[in-house]
Amino acid sequence: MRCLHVIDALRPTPVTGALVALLSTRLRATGEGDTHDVLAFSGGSAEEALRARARRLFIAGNGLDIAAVVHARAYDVIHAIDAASAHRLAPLVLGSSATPFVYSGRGLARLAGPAFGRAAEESLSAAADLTILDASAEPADSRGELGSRLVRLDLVRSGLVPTDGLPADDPPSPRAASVLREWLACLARAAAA
Amino acid sequence: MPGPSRGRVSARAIMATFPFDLYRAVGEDRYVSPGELPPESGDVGRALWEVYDRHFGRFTGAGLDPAFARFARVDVSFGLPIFPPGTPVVIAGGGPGLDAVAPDLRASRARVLVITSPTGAVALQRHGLAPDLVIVEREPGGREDQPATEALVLGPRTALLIEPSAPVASFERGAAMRRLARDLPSWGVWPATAVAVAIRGGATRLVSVGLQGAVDGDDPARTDALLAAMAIHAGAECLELGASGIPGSRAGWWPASWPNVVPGDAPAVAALDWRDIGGAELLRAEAERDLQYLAPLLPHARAALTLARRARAGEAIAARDLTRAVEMLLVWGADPSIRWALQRSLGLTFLPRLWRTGVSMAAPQRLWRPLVLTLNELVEQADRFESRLTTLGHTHGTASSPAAPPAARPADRRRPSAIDVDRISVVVPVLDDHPHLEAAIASLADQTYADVEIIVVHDPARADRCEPLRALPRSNVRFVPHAGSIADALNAGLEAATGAYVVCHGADDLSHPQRLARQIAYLHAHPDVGVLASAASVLDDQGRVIAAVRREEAAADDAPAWTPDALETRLRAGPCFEHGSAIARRDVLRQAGGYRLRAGSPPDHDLWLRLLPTTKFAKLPTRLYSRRQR
Repeated sequence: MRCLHVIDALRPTPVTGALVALLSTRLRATGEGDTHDVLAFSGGSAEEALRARARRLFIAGNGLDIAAVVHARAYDVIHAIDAASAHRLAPLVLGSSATPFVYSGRGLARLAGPAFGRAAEESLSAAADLTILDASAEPADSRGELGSRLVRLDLVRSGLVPTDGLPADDPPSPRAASVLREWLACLARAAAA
Repeated sequence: MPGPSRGRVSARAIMATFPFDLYRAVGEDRYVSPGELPPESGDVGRALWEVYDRHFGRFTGAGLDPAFARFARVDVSFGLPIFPPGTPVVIAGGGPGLDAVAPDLRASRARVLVITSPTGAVALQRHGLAPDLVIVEREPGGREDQPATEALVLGPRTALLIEPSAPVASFERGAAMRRLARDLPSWGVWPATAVAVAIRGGATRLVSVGLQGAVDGDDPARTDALLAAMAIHAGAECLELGASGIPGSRAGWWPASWPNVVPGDAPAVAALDWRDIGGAELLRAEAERDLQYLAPLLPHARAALTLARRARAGEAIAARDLTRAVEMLLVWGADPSIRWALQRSLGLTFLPRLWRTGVSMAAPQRLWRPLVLTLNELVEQADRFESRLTTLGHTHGTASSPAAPPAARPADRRRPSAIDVDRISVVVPVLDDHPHLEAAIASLADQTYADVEIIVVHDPARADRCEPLRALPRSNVRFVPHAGSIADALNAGLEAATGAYVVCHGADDLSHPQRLARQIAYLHAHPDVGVLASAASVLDDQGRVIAAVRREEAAADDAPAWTPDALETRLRAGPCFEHGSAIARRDVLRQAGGYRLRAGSPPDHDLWLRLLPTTKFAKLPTRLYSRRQR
């Protein structure tokens, strides 16, 4: 699986910590066959931690051609980990490529900082090939229509996304490690679909 | 040569030089490609486009209003600040550079005007300084009701210039003056907005202080590039004070030290002036025109969305049909007037981006993805837009002044003279502290169903608890003071209701945005059903779902609707749905005599039992209501 993770900025936020943990999990659990690149729309102090764990790290603030990254590198799945990056990249990915698009920003929304309007959030979930929600934060409602395109993970209660903005525990707790593996499995499933 | 040593520049010359309309139009995402720029835009157009292309990805999102916050307050008028020529205008951010300059700024405070953001105002406050003008913009992509900086206390000198789409909380600060900024020249980067506002208001000397690191969550290169382009083409004197006395290096901004900021002949006292430009009726009239203009497009959008959803569900849809739907969207994008009306009035974010990235037709079976992404947002926003306008229209025609205290509105208590067959009256009894009351009201005001009135029946002793509601952008809220039991309060709400359908909603509980629309659709299709409930969930104090209300609702999303026969059996055995989840025909409730207190049975269940012989009950399987655990 060749995966491009997209994040808005490399600031040390809970979401950045979750991405670091996810990439670390890949090294332990899913073998050498997977490659994980990261695209960020602006830099920050978490750059070093991500650069050490990702195969490649692209920072769009350097004048990078985002379309070239998305189209020319033939990813099996593109994973938007926060709402801001999903919002920015979704029209490009969904409109001009056939690459599966996974949206985790909704699951992390409570801790990811600014979110978007409800209509935009619903639209992202409706159009993504797979949407990941936090198991505890979302009321059950109309998204039943998404069926298997919707997955609920215990992102917050597992301690995977600490609320203090610091990177998650390393190594993660057994429960968090389990959620991380499940998260990766979701990405792999979307890539294979 | 520009810079501190250059002779005085006239405000008229600067205003004639800087193309405000072009600057604003590019920042508002009116242009998709550089070929659309007006031919006369020349070097300035090229410079602005380069920044727009390279640093903003050809989409700023500034000025869009996905939450329709511009409809929130109708009691604030529009205004433009006027800056006296020759007076230095300091654009102050909360970056490290402010610390070194603060003492000098304090010493010369009376002779300069200071513009900042809410965050910058907090930084200035720490140095004992108050700004003259705080610009409040909606952060593109920002949370719908993101509050302004909590620590901010504005003094009598400070005025707020508020973008109409900025969060409602921004209006509530104790500033000396609040003005909405119509057509704010904004790219969503407040220092650049401050520069544009100052130049448009006649400022001839601009001084930047503490801007490095002062734009939250932004790429600093983006701010620098935009400020540089403006300084080079604006013609005003643009000075930059660096951190620790070291001049900065932003192109077009001349490094300066404080003694050069305030020339000897600058006015001794600097003061802002204002030009009023009307009230919020302008926005509403504009919105109504937009709605009329867009109305013919909306059925096509709904049909295309339905098609795309069927394709998403795996149904075999002809590639030709999906391709045509995409082509329709692209044709809309090729027409600047349609494009502008859609993105501005509906606050769309995905369709404008799609017009810029284009759509590949190489994989027709995947075309449902861009269609669902863009049309889902479009249709939902159109419904909410229409709902807000309808609600405003209803309120303007019938409601009393929002400034009047609840107890001072006897008209609220009068018996309704006519019943509106489409309206839903939601009665919310407020007999306790109810910490989540605002959230409950917000969930009702955000219903996709258009014609909803919210009747807050409160104990007069709890009038203070209702005060914050008057500051909310919920102009369809009415207040009915009433002392007595819960049954009396509910009956008072029934009496005041003007809708043909009634809901009695918990004051801490939440309704799904589509709850009323779904329930009314069911009742229209089932005229024999008098009371319709829905499955419900229980929330903890943080808003997290704890459980379904009843065990049988745990799998409610997959369960068939509860039939009237099944419900009758269950009702006779005891309560089997949440009171707040029920919607009832008003006449049915009134004919039964309303609520009453009886030992051994809650008022709602007592009422349902009395209704069983005269009407049918049904219950939707989807959890559309969330009760807060107490």
